[in-house]
Amino acid sequence: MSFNFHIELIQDGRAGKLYSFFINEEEHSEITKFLNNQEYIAYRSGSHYKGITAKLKNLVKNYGFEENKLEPIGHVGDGKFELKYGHLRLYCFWLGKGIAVFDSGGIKPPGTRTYQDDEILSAHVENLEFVRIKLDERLNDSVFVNEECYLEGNLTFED
Amino acid sequence: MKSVEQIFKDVPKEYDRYIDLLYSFVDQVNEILVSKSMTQRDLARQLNMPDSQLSRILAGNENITLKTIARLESALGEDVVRMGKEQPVHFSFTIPHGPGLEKEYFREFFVDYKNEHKINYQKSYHIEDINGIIVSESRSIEYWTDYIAQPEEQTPEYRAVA
Repeated sequence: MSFNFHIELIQDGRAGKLYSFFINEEEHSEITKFLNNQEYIAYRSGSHYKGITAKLKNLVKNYGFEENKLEPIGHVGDGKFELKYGHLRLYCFWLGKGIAVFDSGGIKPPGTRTYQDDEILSAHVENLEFVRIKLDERLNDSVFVNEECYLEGNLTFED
Repeated sequence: MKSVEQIFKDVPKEYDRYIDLLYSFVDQVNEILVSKSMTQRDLARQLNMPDSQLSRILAGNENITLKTIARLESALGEDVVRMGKEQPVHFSFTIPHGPGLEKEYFREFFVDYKNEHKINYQKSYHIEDINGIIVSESRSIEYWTDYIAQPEEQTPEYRAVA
């Protein structure tokens, strides 16, 4: 799997800088698409959506992306996490308490155990992994996280 | 499509407050665990609760009942939630900092005092400018009753109002 993407700051919070990525010059970032997805907004009368947006807002504005408020997924130590509320899942990789790059997510169907059991969720985690690897290749070389937790450098990734 | 900023503004207050309370609660439990050199596993054993359930609670992924809070407090040997008679009276003082940094300083200010003063209450506040216009949203903080703002810390630009 391969795609072009660029990473952008989406929400500049006091406690956390929320970044996301745009695939193949799409107009909207992955997190923006997730948060505007009508299926997720309406799921279970909207309660799961309201909960996950409240969590995200609190992390950005008040708490930062503390590891104990996110659940690790994938291999231990590779920095991939999920934010969850009810059946909704939102994926990110963590660059520090003050900064995280968010992908989209989806509904974890009841009865499934992990994201690997669902095609949509698996696809998002694969995308996230691709972005993480590409960014890792540049981190501390041509891309840096500065003291204020902003990413600096060339954040456009094209083959 | 709505921007993330707009989506955050649209989060219902009920949910916003619920998550703030939940995260605040789990942070306090985690702080107590650290101060007592206890692990989550130690606490789970004391509670006779599966590790996985306590882990969900302390990640803010479970809606805990008052009974569960009481069990946690009992096992920790400390109150985490304070209610009823302990609620504070009026609280208001000036924030000793300039535009843009007032909230950050406010937060650090209390953290700095944490080791010297007993935590007494929680209270919500917002920040107003000199004209009484609210410049930050309401939020909950911890504070200490024995602190009185000193004159040199006063500034005319902003103040916190409970």
